[in-house]
Amino acid sequence: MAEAQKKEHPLREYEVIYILKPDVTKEVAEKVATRVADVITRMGGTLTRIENWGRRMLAYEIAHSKRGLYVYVTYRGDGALVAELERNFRMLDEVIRFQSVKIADEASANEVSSDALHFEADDAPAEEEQGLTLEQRLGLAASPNREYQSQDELSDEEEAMEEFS
Amino acid sequence: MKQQDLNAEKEAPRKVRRRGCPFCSDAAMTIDYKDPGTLKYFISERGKIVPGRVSGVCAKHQRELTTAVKRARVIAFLPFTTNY
Ligand SMILES: [Zn+2]
Repeated sequence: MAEAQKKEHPLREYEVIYILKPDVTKEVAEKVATRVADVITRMGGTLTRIENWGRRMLAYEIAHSKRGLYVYVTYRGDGALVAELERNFRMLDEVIRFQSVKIADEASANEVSSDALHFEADDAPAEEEQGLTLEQRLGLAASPNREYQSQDELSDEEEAMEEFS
Repeated sequence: MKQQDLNAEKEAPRKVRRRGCPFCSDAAMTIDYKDPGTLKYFISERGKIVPGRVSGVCAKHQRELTTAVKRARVIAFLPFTTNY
């Protein structure tokens, strides 16, 4: 089946970000990551990257959560794989949001480093620092900082995670 | 005659302060929905996308920006609104 689909649908590069409930255990986060990898392999695709982006403040509440655990995945596959992956996300109660994006029409043949495939379920340090150069260049009035996760909030979560590790 | 005057007035050169498109003038500036830090400079306090004529972003990059902001909203990097 996978062979037939390969011929009909070209392989492309995709990325997907999925958000887990903030209170998931390390084990559950790993279970979901493993399932994602399994689905990709089963459907004839190739996982090229999986990164834990850690717990972050959500810009708005999703499923009564103010934050979520972000996971970033890139892979090669066809449209059927995207559909199957999304079907799996819908079935998982821990996944509160996901979004697939096509990043290239042609799958590259680049080697995949094994480092990129290592899913670290521990809290990854999250927020990128916010530069001001653009704002200055545009001369725009400062837009209010969105509520991003502060370091204080992160440490609470990290403490909670210690119990599971 | 009167009509002519009006037209002439209309076509008088307007003094518009034109800022160059930041994405055209700086190759290091990229549009990525995964980078809310950059995107937030192009949305208003209410979370609305600032028109290109206000921010100076060219039409091509404004289209890319719009897509990026919408994707960032879906994944909760940016708000849809800030009414609450
Ligand atoms: Zn431009």
